[in-house]
Amino acid sequence: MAQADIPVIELEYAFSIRINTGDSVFFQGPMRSRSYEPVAGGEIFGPRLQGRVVAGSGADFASNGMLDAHFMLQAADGTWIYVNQLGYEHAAEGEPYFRVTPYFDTPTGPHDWLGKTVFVGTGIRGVEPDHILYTYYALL
Amino acid sequence: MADLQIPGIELEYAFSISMVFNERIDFVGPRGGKGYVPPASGTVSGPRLNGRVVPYSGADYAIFKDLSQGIKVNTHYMLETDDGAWIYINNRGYLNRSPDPQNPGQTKLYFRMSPYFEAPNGPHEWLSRTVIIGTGERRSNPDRSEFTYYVVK
Repeated sequence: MAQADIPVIELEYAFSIRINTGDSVFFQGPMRSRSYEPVAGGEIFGPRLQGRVVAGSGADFASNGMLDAHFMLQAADGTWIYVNQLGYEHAAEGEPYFRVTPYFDTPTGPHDWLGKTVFVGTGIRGVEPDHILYTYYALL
Repeated sequence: MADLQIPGIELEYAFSISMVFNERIDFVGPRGGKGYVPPASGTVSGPRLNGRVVPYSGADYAIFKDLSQGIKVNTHYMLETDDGAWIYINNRGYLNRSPDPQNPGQTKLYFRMSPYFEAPNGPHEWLSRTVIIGTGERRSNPDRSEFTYYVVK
């Protein structure tokens, strides 16, 4: 198939989320590994969404190298937003970095586009306090 | 205040999947709308992967509230590559309806997807640790969906 036939894909910067992380737990089980990295709070900023990450609302429960985070956001207007984020942390060499896709459940209303849009995110770890800074792009 | 510099993101075309359907089943139950759409056949082609969709190896088990407005896609099925590897794909995303720019007054359905894969150790194992996003369209004659996938680098 010629490259010219391939539909173009368009991404648009949507918002960023800084997730403060708590102390993590990791273990290896008979079938799979499991890690637990709790969400300790954070901030949402950018053109399409502002608000906070709800402290203690969830965690990343990664298994065998695949992220599976569940937690809550609260938009600046008070709307509650559930997040389930899948993806990978690449930590084999150099600075670790993330590639993720978050899925959102939101109430019907001004933020319900989050529940009908595919996003892709990049992330890097930071300190003081320990956090992951994610940058999210909407797939238009 | 957090750093406001926005890093870029790089995509690379990976492959396309075309799937043909014979059955489309949907119903509404106490827990909402459920779809069941198994692939009757399909092909995978492109620079990073070539092969076929294994017929009736699974289905889209979508959820919806109002079928005419779109669905939340959640497919499970198997691919078989030209070199004989079997790969599990869980294709997640949305089938949304929006105004059709080519036909004023009409709407069209379009897919936005992020598939996750499990591939055996070997030449295709990169699929098991790579975020991939895609777009897709519904076509008719035969009833099929055409997906285009990009690797997020």
